[in-house]
Amino acid sequence: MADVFRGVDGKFFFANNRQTKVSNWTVEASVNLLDKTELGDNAIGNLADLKSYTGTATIIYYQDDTKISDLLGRVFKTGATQPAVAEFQWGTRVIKFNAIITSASLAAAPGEVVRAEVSFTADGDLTTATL
Amino acid sequence: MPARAFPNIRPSSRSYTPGNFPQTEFRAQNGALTILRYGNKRVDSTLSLEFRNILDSQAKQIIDNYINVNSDLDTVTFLSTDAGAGISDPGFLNYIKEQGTGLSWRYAGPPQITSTFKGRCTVVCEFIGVLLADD
Repeated sequence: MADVFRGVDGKFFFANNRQTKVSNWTVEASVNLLDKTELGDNAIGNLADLKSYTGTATIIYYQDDTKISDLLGRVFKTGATQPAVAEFQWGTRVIKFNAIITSASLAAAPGEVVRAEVSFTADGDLTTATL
Repeated sequence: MPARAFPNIRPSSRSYTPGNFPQTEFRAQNGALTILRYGNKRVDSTLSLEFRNILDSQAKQIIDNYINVNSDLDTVTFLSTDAGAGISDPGFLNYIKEQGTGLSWRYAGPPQITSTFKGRCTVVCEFIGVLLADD
């Protein structure tokens, strides 16, 4: 039976620091479309426009984890946010891009550990893609 | 005044108004309206064509056409394969082409070109149907 990747194979790095307490991450690529439909056509015509990449990570907040503090400190701060490289790995596969943190939230609830939900958007194209 | 064919490019959208009949209106102080009609032929029909996300080379054809038409004070002709694309009724197509109506298409202004993506742009052309003196 062919091997599959499992959640345990997933790793997430931000600013070259591995976030060891990640409970899940997602990465998404999307392509904008340009309409090139002409009068007389029977179907909508589209043209591939610009690509964009976004990602999310859910990280469990440990008190002694300085890496999550560093990540959150880039957006929970006065002044401009600091972009950095986001790297999503699973096994030997990797997707990497310069990321801007577009949202970050911390949540605490009874019976739950405190988690941080962080979303990223790429600045430019992928720097590495091994699929 | 010779006519030049518009490039064979189908528009994304088309807007047409059939124009007016030349006349002057006078309204008296009591509100009565007097209309002086100067002719029985339509004038100043308008045609607006938008070409969305066409190739830069196609935009160049349109600019070339604009320059060639206006440098010689020519008029523009259309076909069912360009401005008339998608029209199934021949009578309506004749209005869009202003064929047999006495009107001739001229550029109302320069084409407006907006670059949208590498190698692609959107072009808007406005035309006005003029009744030429020798018609």
